[in-house]
Amino acid sequence: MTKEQIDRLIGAVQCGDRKELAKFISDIKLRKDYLTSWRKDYDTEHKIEIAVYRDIMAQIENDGYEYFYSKTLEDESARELLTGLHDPEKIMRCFEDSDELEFDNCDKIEMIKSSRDVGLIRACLEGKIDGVRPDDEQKLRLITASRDIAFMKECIAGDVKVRLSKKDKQVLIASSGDIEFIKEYIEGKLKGVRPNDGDKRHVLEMSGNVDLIASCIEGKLKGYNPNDMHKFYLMLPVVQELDDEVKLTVLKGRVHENDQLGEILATFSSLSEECKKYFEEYLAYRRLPTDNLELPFKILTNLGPEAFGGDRAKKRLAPEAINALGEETIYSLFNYNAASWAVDRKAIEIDKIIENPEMFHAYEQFRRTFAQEQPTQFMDKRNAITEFSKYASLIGECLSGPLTSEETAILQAVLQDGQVQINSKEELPAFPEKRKEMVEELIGDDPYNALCYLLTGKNSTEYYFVNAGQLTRAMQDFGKESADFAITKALNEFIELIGGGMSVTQQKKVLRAYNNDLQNEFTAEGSQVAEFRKAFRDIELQIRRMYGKELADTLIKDELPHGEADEKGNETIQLAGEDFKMLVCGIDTYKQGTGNFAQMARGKKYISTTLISEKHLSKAGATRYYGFRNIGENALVTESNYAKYPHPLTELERESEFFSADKLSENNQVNQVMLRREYLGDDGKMRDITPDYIVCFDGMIDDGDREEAKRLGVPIVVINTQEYEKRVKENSEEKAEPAVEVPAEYENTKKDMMDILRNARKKCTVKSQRVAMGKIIAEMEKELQADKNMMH
Amino acid sequence: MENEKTAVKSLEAMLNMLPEDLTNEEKEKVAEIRGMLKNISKKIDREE
Repeated sequence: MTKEQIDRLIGAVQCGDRKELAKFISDIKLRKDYLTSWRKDYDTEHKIEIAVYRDIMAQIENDGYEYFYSKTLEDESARELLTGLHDPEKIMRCFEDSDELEFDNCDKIEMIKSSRDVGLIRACLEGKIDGVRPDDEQKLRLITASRDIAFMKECIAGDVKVRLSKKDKQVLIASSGDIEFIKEYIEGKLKGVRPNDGDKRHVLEMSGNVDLIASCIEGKLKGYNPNDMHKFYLMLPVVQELDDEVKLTVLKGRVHENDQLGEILATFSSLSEECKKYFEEYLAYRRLPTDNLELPFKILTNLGPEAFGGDRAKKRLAPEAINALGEETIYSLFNYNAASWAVDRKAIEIDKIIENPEMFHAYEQFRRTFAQEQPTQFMDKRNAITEFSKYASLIGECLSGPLTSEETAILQAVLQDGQVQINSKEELPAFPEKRKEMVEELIGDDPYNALCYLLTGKNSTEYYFVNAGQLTRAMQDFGKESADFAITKALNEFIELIGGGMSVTQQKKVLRAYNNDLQNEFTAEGSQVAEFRKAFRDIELQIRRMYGKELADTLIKDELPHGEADEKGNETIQLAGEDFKMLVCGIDTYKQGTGNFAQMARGKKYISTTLISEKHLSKAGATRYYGFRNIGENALVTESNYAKYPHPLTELERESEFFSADKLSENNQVNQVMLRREYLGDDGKMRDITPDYIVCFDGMIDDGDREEAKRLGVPIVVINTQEYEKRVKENSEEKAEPAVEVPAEYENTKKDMMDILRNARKKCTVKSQRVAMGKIIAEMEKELQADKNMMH
Repeated sequence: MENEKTAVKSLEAMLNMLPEDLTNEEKEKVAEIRGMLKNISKKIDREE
């Protein structure tokens, strides 16, 4: 934001010119929802200022930030404090007045971050600044913001009291952009980390440093195992750095995951006919509808298993595998992204199942006695395959003869846990001790992970933390005040208590006590930790499905009018005021694209859509829109009531933010609904997200729309936006409440009181002032509300 | 409701296993969690 824009904004605020303010907000494309809160809650000029600049803080560059504060705050001392944004002492003094300045936790963290002062950041990380509590993500951002490699190293080594998971450390190193720092990690010279080949590869891939990645792939980087190089995800800029031979070797190993295959092939200076055929057939396979296994089999026969990532794939397509697991499971293993990821990276083997299919089926029966039922049959099947492959000899031995109740309990725990290797029935009693040893090691390496594992049986990357706001929202949206929601809330607080605030020594002491307790799980004494783990239910999936179902049901609630064939032979449906709900996905927003959904959909895991309805037509600009009304309840990944997620998307499934369909489009922003392109249907079978319509606005249908509609075999929906805008306007006029004037005396009195308290500053503590101020304001608000009620 | 009851009971037991030398802030948080668990127990009793 420029200084001119800031002046314009301040002018509007100071004059109380709401129209100008709204226009300004619209001009610079700020979030508009603050206007709503402003009308509801901010009834003094000072508060209006705060309401405005809180929302625009993120948009102001550093210089403008200071300028903005210095211009907007009337209070001399506050101005002095705030103009010294990069001065740690001034920032701390400013925090003392944070109530008056209405700085919340996030504001304070932002100020510390922008100071880039290592001392201040360290104090914040270690919880030494009153009232500032960064969460894990904010801690990571604070460390990154320091831009101080030596400090980052201290944090990684554990010399600063901050908990960093293995992944956090990787992000820190990769995002530092410091080549020497990354090299030290790869060479295993950094204190506090012990990276394996996969970790090193992951950091290199995250760093996006083309030269480093190319050096690794070519086997030139010390500390990186050349045998691991074929596992690199090949980015186009890296490929361009490699010679043909190396490129081909690496590409063959990762061909099944690469959605830029066509572009990569174009970088080869020469390619044998055999290679060309190999890749072309593979590309043809990627374009196939997912219910056809014929071509994969053909490719496998002609081109070998490398086409799908190696021998494992060959085994999965062997007739014995199909006999043992059934064609449907094999097909799902191939086509379900998550499953293929698991199969390829987590080394799910099916050899054991092929060797003994009867025992596998017996195991499937047995696991029903202990495993939580998964939302779809395939997920159960996949888990069963993983467990059986890992514990085949143990399962074979145990299920072939009688088991005592204790043996059964331990066997169930071993299989459910999946982290401790027990190979025979004889070894079963050793499980609690082995698990204890494993947790002890985890406490040393990654205490936070150990905490999650101890309490939930899952590690920190598997346990989805449902935040308190989401829990409350879900309770309100579904009228569900159930105990399991409240338990999750308490559990998260519990994890925060031990994992967030405690000193490392205290934390380890607690974790060791819990680990000792867990060891008693199968004794007469029993274990409270084990009891909790058994009772624990991860409600994230429950919440996701509740919102997924609500969305799926909402989309098909209103029937669309019948379509009619237009003069060019396309079925068109006219919407001019009728109720409807639809997800739209715009394509080719920023660049010239293919104009073709099938092309656009290839190789991507998610699709970003926007919910539009009779009340809300805001959407991102695009050259073509696809409409969706028929989605399954498992398709939903996450939602946001404003455009939030950039591409490429990483770790999206851990976002877990959901809104009811009504609330999603409440604030006239372009909302975002992320869906899986391939999802598990309600019947447990894989489904693809496919468009139900081409959507056009105000009769603007071009030939490309018509062609695409014919290609997909779907009608064109034409939305008359003017009719809907008219309808929204009429509704809002009907509902508008008469404006209630705030009495001028109230404002004056409040200002007078503020002045008195400001002058009193020298006579009493800031805390006493805050308490007094709080009481006075509360009384005045009550009176004002009473007056308003009387006026109504 | 048995499952929820067990969860509440075992979480309470785990709170009791915390060391005594907690900071004031940690003690406040423990009290807060105890309050939450108490409310959950009441809720479970009401639903039964």
